[in-house]
Amino acid sequence: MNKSISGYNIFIVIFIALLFLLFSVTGGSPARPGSGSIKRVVSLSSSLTDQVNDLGAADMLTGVTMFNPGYRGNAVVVGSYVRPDMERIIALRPDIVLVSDEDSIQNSGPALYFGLRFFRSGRVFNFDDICRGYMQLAGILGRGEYGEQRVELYRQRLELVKRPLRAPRVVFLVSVKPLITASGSSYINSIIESAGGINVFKNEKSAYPILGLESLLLADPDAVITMMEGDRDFLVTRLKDYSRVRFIRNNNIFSSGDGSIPYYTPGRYVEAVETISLLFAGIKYE
Amino acid sequence: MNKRLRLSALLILPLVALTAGLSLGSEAVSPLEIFSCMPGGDCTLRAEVVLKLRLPRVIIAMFAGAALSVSGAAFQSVFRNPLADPFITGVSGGAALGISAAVITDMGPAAVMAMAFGGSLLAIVMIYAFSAVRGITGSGLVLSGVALSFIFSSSVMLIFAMARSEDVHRIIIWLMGDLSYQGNIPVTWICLSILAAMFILFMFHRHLDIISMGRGFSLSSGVSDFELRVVILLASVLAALAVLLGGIIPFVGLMVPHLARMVAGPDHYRLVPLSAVAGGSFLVLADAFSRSVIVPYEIPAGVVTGFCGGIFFLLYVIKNRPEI
Repeated sequence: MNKSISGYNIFIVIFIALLFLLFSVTGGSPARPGSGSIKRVVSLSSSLTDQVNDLGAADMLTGVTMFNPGYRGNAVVVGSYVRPDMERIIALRPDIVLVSDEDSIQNSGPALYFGLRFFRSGRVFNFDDICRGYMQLAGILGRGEYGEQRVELYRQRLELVKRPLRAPRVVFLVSVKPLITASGSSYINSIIESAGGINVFKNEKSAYPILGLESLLLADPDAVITMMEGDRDFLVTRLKDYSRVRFIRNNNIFSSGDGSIPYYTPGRYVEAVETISLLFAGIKYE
Repeated sequence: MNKRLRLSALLILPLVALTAGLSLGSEAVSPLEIFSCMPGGDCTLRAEVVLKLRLPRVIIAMFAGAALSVSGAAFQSVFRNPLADPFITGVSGGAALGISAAVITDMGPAAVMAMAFGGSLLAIVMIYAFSAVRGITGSGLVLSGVALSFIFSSSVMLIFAMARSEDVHRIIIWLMGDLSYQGNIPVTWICLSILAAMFILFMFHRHLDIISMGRGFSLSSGVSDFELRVVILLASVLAALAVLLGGIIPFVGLMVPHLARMVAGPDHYRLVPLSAVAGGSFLVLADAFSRSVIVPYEIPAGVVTGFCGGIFFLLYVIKNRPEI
């Protein structure tokens, strides 16, 4: 009995040793600024693709995921950000793969397993976080100085945004079917605050909580902002009978559009703040 | 249980459910506040929410729960199987496929619901055809329903694999049982249809009594294959209408008829109405709980009924261990 157990243990030790060996051969590593010249980049995040584009390095992109506003290059589409096609990525022989923690489903797992070098952008909660990630990426792509200039430009633009005298209490809806809002754990909350508003559901724990319609109505915000124009129309039609709810009575349901808010880059952040502040200027009070 | 006690329970249960359904939510509100919205009254925001949001939802939950429960009671008798439920004929799978196809092709809200109902009807027609044309009955029909469900669910998985994540999210919420009335279904007509189908099924209570004794006995007692098929069709239509009102809500049609049978006995003259009342009340209570337990989040009602159903069946299995 003891003999068979010890034989079994030896088998486990050998198996673990083999696993270590496998990962030491195939394991990828996170990229560091200035760690070798980079010419071929695969981006698995639309926001990171946008950042590369903004850094003037679009020609380095050899692979991108679907849906990339602003990018007009010829990079190969390597699947969606939820389900990248690893075979296609490997075939592109990238110098680096860009992944993001903010796109919650993603992680660097596949890149690690296939031994690819990767840059992993962390979660972002505000403009400073976004700029930090942007500067790291700029450093890796050898565009640190240019990145600094861009960030300074965006900071100046952000300071010029006009904030309302009275801070409106607003709810931002990422989706209406189901009702999903953005809480204080998401960078959208920071966009609302930068534009001079107060996020009604700031204190919720989840970054993007699913709300009941009742909670939205009883919160009685000054305004509701949807990301999609169609969602705004749906809310206007669906809620038209609730005349005692302030944002419905005053017709304060707006749409921000989805051109800038879903993408966490310094430029898009500033665009989003400018858009939201313009919407705030149109809020009607009694 | 004596007759008077049973009757009082029958009346009190829906009243308790109605009160809880109107009072509980993201804020506890007295149902009496509704009266402030009478002509001449000073209608408050809370009263408006109760009147326009909670009341329709309570009505929807009441009818959906009743339909599922009566459908489950009928299927359990027809198949003489305590695990038979309203979705045994693949109605839920058909609806899921219909709604998934509609969502990913960006159809409008009304078309989405039409597709869900169309999917359910497709499953019903196929099962009816198996029964009428091929002469499949009993276990064969159950297996056909299971096979259809597998085909439908695999098709839904295929759609999930290709769809955008936001679409998948939307479908999943509906699949979990969603009673948040979106104003895009003709609720009045659906509720009236449920009432009519339940009434017709009730008229078959003697048939159900005989059918539940076994196919051989029911044939010798004069219950024809056509009558059996009509019962199956009515029970399936009830399930499809319930799905249209609240998505796929599990366990109501499985658990409540069991409980109702414990109180009313096997006689369908009592079992069908009691299942309707108990099923409706249970779903209203489950929905009230789902709205009020983690404010401002809203748990799909199907999650709550799933928990209750799972616990109930574990206890049922433990209690009836020697027989199972």
